[in-house]
Amino acid sequence: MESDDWRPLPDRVRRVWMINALIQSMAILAGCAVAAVVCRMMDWWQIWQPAIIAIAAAYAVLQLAFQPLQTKYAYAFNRFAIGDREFRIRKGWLFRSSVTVPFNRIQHVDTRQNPVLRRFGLTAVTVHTAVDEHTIDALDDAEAERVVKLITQRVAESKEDL
Amino acid sequence: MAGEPQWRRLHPAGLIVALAKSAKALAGLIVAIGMIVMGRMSSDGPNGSGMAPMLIGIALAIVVMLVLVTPIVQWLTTRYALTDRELIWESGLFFRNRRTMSYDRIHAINSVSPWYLQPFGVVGLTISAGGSSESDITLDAVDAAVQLELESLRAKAGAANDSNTFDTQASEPSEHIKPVRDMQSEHAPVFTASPRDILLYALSDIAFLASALVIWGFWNRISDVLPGWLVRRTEDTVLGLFAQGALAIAMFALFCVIVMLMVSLVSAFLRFYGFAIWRRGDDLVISRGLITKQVTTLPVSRIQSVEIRRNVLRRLLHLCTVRVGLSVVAGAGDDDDDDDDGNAQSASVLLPVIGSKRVYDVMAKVLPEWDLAPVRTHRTGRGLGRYYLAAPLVALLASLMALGVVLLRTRTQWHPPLPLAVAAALATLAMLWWMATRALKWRTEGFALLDGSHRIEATGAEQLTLVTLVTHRSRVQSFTRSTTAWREPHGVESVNMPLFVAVGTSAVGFHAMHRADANRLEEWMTSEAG
Repeated sequence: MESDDWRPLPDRVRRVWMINALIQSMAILAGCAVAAVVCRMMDWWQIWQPAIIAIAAAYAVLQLAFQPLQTKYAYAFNRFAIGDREFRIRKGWLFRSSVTVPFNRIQHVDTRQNPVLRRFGLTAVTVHTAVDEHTIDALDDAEAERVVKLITQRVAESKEDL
Repeated sequence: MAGEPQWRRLHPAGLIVALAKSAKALAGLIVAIGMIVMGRMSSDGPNGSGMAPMLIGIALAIVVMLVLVTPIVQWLTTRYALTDRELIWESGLFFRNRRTMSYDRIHAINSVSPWYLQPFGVVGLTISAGGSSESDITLDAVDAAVQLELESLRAKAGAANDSNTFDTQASEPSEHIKPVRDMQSEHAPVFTASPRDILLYALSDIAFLASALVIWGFWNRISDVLPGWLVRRTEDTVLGLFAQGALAIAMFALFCVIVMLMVSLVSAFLRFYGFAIWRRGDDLVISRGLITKQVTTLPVSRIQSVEIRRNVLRRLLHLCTVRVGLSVVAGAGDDDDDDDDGNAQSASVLLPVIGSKRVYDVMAKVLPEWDLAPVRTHRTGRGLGRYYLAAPLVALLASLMALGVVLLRTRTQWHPPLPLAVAAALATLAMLWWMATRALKWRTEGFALLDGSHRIEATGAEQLTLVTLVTHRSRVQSFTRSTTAWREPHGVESVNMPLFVAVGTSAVGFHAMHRADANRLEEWMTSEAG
């Protein structure tokens, strides 16, 4: 597969990842706050409870602090390709992986759009085989529709393997 | 226009099954209600307020409703029909469930004949279509003839659709659908497991060590209901043995091993006594079981992979086990629902134990379509030992250092607590285990592309069990290659290929291989059928 067949994700996905990370960190911190209040009210405040809550809160804060770097890194190495016979996804630099799924293994294709993706006009596309699934994290809505149609067409045209 | 299907009810003996299942499932609740009532009565004392009889009445009413009414209602509202094209099943009073399964989608039909249903000529059937067991249809009690009827209809549907069986010259399906007992008298099975085979299977099954956990779990359960003095006396007796010296501990350990072997032996005979395989056209019919007879009908075309497995003990005895990979959990639940996983594994066992020299000859009779033969595989880990062993070696050294520190500290004034010393020792053993399993993978991982490259034979290890797996390219669902920034310049990758297998080894994986081998495998996997 030629290297220029690999297609990047839309630039806006970086903002989506940042917002998702922010929401996740806020949720963890809120959970920590609630846990702290409940523990104090029930007089369950020795050593372990503050330690665990502090670790969870620190994780959430560090996760958020490093998110811009993670986003830059993930965006730079997240690619997909639609060939004549197979569909491919590539991720990561430090820990790299690439998945190849022949069209004649694809059972169906899903799209998913949570509120954050919808706000930025993006859609996630997931292909399902009989045992696993693989996702393109975000595409423009129109591009996602084209990709789904293309994959579905290639699946229909593919020959059944023996 | 199709008429209304001819509905049938489950056999009345199914009420026994339903009531037994209900009572067993609710045993814990019944005991809890009983204990609450007794506790209330004892706290009220002889001058109680008279609430006790009312409490007993309410508790009895709840028990009767749960144990009796629910299974009776379920039996009354369950019905099934065998139409020309499909099996239809309905159940439920307030929430009606209806499931339809076309005959050509049936992957396996499993029948179970517990001892209490055998006098009625009744069996429990589980009909599976590929995928998870949630889509199965279970008929708890039907006449044994219904299984034959289903198999005939399935075979006709398969012949009509010109399904993708290996044998395209199948005869008329109705000719070879016969009851198992008729087959037993008319045809010799292609394989039978003798009691000696089952004994060897039980004695060489390393999983017998897991029975120690079963015994421990059983003791924990019953110690809650046994009198306290009995539990204390038993525990004191056991602990007292440890104080009597090494010989007493060794004898006790030997006694425990003998008990575990007996448990393994009994379990193996219950599952595999009378194990026999017949070829019936395109089906494999596997019969097994001592008290509960199980008959599984497997279309050969639904077999996704064949595995030959050799654990440490079986390698020493030149024995192996053959399992098939199925896309469906083709084992009907026995009386004990907790044993469903064990039943699924048992249902995928083709040859419980067989000599390594005989296995290919026997498989040529059982599955001639697969054309299994000894093959020399290309060893993918050659020259890559450091990628397999570096991490466990570092971990082992770290754990040995930690253990050394703990042991040295026992000589000084600071004595580490016992749990810390035990944890350090266990960690060292765990790292040794990891090292051993990785070393075995390094020596055994490999593959060979077979005849026209539609099939692959992969060798490797799961824990300390050697596995040789043969499967078709079409069963491989995707191809994942992984590496790291520091491995990639050396052209070293790991590969994982998930298989469409629900029971059995579900993926072919290689921990480390050269890029050229990974490219070759990927090209094989993505090339089109000829």
